[in-house]
Amino acid sequence: MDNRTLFKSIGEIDDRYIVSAQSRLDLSCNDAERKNSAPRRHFRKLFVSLAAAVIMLLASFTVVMAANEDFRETVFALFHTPITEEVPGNDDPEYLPPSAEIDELVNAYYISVDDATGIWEVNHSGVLVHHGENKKVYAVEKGKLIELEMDTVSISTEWNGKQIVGKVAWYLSDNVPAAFATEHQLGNNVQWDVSPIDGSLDKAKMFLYLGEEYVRHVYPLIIDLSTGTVSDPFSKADLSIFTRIENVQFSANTAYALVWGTTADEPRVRPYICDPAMGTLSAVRELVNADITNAYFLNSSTVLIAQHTDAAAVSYWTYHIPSDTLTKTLDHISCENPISGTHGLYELGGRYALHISDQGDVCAVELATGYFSAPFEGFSLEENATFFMNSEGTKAFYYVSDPAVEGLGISGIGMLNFETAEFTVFDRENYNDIYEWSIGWLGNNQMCVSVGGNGSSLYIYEFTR
Amino acid sequence: MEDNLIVDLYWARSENAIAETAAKYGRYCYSIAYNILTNVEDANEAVNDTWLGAWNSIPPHRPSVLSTFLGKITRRVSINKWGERNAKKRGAGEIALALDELVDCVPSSQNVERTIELKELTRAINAFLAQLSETERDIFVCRYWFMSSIKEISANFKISESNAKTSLFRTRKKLYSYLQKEGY
Repeated sequence: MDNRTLFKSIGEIDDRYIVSAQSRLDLSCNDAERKNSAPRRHFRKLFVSLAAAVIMLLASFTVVMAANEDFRETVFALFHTPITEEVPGNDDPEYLPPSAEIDELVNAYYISVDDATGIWEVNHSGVLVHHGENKKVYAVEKGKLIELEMDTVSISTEWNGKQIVGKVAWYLSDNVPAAFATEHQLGNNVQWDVSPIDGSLDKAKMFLYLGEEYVRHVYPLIIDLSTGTVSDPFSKADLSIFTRIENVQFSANTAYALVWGTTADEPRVRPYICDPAMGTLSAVRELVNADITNAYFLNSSTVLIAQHTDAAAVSYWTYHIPSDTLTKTLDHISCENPISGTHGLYELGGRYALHISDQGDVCAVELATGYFSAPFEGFSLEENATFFMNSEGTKAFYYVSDPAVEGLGISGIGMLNFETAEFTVFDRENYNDIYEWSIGWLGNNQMCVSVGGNGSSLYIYEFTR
Repeated sequence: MEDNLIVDLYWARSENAIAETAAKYGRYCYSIAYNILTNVEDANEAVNDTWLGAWNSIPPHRPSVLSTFLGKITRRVSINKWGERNAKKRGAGEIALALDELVDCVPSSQNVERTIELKELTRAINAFLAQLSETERDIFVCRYWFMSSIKEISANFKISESNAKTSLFRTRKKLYSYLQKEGY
C-alpha cells in the first residue's frame, strides 16, 4: 500500500463522515447567510423549553425488545414463479406483444410510445408524465394509458415584500393529489416550486428558494389546491433560530412539521419538530438525547427517529408528539450495507426495513415497533438487488441488475408487500437484448420499466397480490 | 428542489436533472474541485465532468445522500485531472501536501507487494474513523477528503493553525498504528 492507495480509499469513506465534516466547512455559507443568522438568545430560549421536555420524556422512556412473539408468527409467503418472463425486444413496435401473464401473479403489458413528441417519465407520484408541448399525466390501467384530468389554480401572494405569481397544476393519482408549478415568476432572487404533502388530500407545499446556488435555503408555505390560497404555516413559530433551512416535511394533516436546518450553535443540518399552531419548536436530538441522523413522519402525529452511530449501527425511536411519548424500538442494530456483502439492517426509507443475518437469512423489520418477522424461506439477497419503497411505505419493489449488461439489465423483478406479508418474484430472460434505463413505481401495484433503443417502450408489471 | 426529486429526474432521464443539480450543488462541487486543482478552468471542467458522471451513474444508482454522491465523483474526477496535470508539471496545490502527509500513515509492512482491496481498506478506514472523536474526525475528513488547507481548518474549527496541525499529526499516527495492527 502507498499513500495514493490510502488517499483513494479515503475518498470512498462513509457518507456520514463526509456530511459531518462538510457541515463544519462552511461550504454553504456566504455573506448573505451570515447576515440572516439568528441572535443566540433565540437558541437559548429553545433549549430552556427543551430541557423541560427531556425531563418529562425520561419518565415515559421505554425499550421494546427487537424480538416479539406476535411478529415472529408473521411468515412472509414467497411466491417465486416457476414461469420466466420472455422479455420481448422493442426494435419494431408492430412485433411487441400487448401483454403476457406470468403465472397468474403478474400481468406484463408492453406499450410502445412515441418519444418524438416529448419525453416520458414515471414521476415521484407514480404516474406517467409526458413532457411534450403541454405536460400531460397518465395512469395505466390494464395496459392502456389513461390521461388524468388536471386542475389548475392561480397563485398570487406576497411574502416579505416579494410578489409570488404563477399557476399550479394538480391531479389525483390513486386519490392522492400531486401538484406541480406550471408557471413560475422568476425574479427578486426568489424561485419557488410545489410538491405534494404525503397523505394530504387538499394541500401542497410550496418552497421558496432563497439565495443562490448551493447556498440556497428554503422557506415553506402551504397552498390550498382548491382555492390557490397561500398561507404561512410558521407565522407563530420562531424560525429565525435557523441560519439555514434545508427541508421541511409536513405530517399528512399539516398539524406538525419536521424542519431540517442549521442553527448558530449546531452547524450540521438536523431535524426539529414544529407544532405550527402552538409555535413550538423542539430539537429532535434533545428529545432523544442523541445525535439524530434521520426522522420522518409515520403518521399525522408520530415521528420515526433514527440514530446511526459511528460503529455502523442504528437505533430507532418513535415519538408521539401530542402525548410526548418516546419509545425506543431498536437498540444499536448493525446496519452495515448488506448489498456490499455484510449483514445487518437494510433500511428502505420507511417504516419497514429488512434484516440480513450472519447466515444470510432475510426477514422484515417494522421499525415503528422493532418487531422482526420470521426469515423469508427460500430467499437470499443477491448482490445486485435493490428494493425501492412506494410513497405510502407499505410495499417495496425489488429488482436484480445484471452488471454484465448495458443499462439496468434487469434479471429479476419482485414486489414485497409488508402489510399482507407476501413477496412475489419472477425471473426474466432475453433482457440483455434491450436497453432498460429506468424503473419506477406506477400507482400502487405496478412497476414501469422504460426501454430505449431503436424504439421506445414501457414495460409495465402489474402484481395481482 | 428536494434531493429525492432531483434523483427522480435522473431516473426519468430528464435533462432538468443536470440543471437542478448544478443550481443546488454547483458551488459545493466547485469548492471540492478547486481545493484539489487550484485552477478555475480545471475546476469548472471537473464540475461539468461530475454532472456527466452523475448522469451516467443514476440510474442504476439511487444515492441516499446526493451531496456526497456528487462530491465523491468530483473528488475522483479532480484527482484524475490533478494526476494528468501533475505529469505536465503544472502546480501542486493542497493535494500534493495532503499526499505527503499521508506517507506518515503508511506502515512499512513486509507485505508491500500485497494487493490492497480498496473496498477493504475503506472499510478499515471507516472503522478507524469511528473510533475518533467527532472533532478529530471532522478535521481529518476536511483535510484529506475535502483537501481544505490548514488555514481554512483553523478558521472553520476556531482553533489555531498549530492546533490543527497537531490534531492531524496525532490522527495520522493513530491511523498508522491502526493500519499496522490490521496487517496493512
